[in-house]
Amino acid sequence: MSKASLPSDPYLDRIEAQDSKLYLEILYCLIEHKVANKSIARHGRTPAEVLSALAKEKDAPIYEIVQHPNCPDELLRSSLQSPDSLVRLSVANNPNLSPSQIELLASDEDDSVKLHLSNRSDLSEDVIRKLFNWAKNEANQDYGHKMSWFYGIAKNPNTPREIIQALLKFDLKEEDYDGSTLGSALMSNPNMIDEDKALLSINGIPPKKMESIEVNMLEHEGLPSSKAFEIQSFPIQYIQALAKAGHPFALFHPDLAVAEFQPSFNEYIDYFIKSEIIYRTLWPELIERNDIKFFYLRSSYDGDALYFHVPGLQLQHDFTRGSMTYNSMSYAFIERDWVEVIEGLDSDDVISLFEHRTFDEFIDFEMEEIQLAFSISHSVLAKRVELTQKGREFLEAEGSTYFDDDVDYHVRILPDKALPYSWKKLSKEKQLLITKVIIDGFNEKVDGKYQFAEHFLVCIALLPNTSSEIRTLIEAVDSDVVRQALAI
Amino acid sequence: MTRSPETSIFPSEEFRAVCERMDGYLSSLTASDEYMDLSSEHEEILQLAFVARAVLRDLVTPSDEVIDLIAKAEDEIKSLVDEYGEDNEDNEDNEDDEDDEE
Repeated sequence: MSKASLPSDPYLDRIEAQDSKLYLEILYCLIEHKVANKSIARHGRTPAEVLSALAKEKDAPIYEIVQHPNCPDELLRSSLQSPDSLVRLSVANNPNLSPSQIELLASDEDDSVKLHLSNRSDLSEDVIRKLFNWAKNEANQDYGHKMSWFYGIAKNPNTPREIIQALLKFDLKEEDYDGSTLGSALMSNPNMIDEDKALLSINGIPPKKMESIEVNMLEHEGLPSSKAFEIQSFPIQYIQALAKAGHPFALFHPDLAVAEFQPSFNEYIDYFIKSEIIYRTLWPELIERNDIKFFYLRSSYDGDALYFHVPGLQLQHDFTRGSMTYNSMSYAFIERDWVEVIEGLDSDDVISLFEHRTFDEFIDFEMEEIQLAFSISHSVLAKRVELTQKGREFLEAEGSTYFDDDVDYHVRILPDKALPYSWKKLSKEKQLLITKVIIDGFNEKVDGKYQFAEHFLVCIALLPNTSSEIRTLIEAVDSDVVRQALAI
Repeated sequence: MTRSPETSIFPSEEFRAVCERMDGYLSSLTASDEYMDLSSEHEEILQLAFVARAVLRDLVTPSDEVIDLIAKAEDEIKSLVDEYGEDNEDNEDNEDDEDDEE
């Protein structure tokens, strides 16, 4: 197999380099708290003894453990015989399999196990032949849909010439869901002879290697060190060690002194945003304002987004799937314990949702009732009418009907669940430092990053406990929306 | 129009009658083929008609301001009905039918 190592947690790596005992202590402590098990199994430098301990945990991340290059031999051997095909499939991805283990998996009854195995670069000729014959039989049964089953073999530099020649006779241009073809897989084989490459070119296959998209699963899952910052009772000496290793979350941790981390907004903003740690620090205490409402947009088309609304504040939103806007949180892989979505809309919510909509959005012969709801909502906002109980029920019913798929649910914010992160709990000195860092980020105007900075300044301006010193700093920021927030 | 001392949704029978007429005008307009074009140009007046409907259906309690606004809007919405209303179109259709018969 390509001996490509798994990505690792850079902050734990730094600690390991300086103090291996401390490194192990932190890993074991994380296992005790159970929130980082998958991340630990995806951290490329987790040692065998820690993986062994992890495997004994309830709900152990076994698929990740058996793929890990440091997976204990005994566990790897027993997993080869697992009745769970997903375990065997995961073993097929382990880079340290012996030739006999590979041979065993090549005869696995499950197609997906063989398919994963076929992507290894350390296959013997015998195994390649076996896998090729399997894929050929499958392709014959369902021709046209399983060309991708040959990709691994086609790319493998150990694939014998006669198999390459056989592959060249298949449909080389049929595109897979991601646009890849058998032709492009063959082009990626470093041992393709010029004659074969010429044949591929004649067949319209560009001389371009197939690109494989490597997803950084550790980043996807979140670094183990970042999980440590989320645990309220995590020993402070370990948190301090991570801060010393330069972990950017230290900036927001209330129990760490300012001097332990001097950040640059533009350098760390991606971290802050993706982990949502900055939102988790700034948003929850906004509920102390009486005029704020949080919403959770659930849309089959656009995906999900968490946002808030304050009357008089014009925050721009782009809820298109995949976009990460500064005024909302739409990253799909974050568990937000401090956010509770309430499945239902009350009349005040419906009125708020109509506030920034226009009448002509609802002009349709079938939508007379929603135009009525719209007109009522805007009249309530203009204080021209007051809702009766029947009116409230009407708005709730119409709101629920109209905001059916693209539903903006009301959200309950639980600041206690966001701890240890809390704007109030930060020292005045740290609040000031964070504000200055964000203002620098705004003034540097880097790409779209300054717009995130603008949003965070809006939040600080809106927070009820922001000091006059910080407000004075923010007043100097050249932004209409920040000025709006200060004026509310 | 001024609000009568009692606290009912309808300040007066006169206002109830206005709301009922506004509701009728609104029904005529929403049934019209012209409604989509009409609504963008006369959004404010149509919204008042919807509010009148909301009052009739006991969904809202009107303020003095909106009572006056609805009363003042009646003539304007009536003229819209005269021009675009469904009944008016029916009449035109009937006239066309008669023409065809001739």
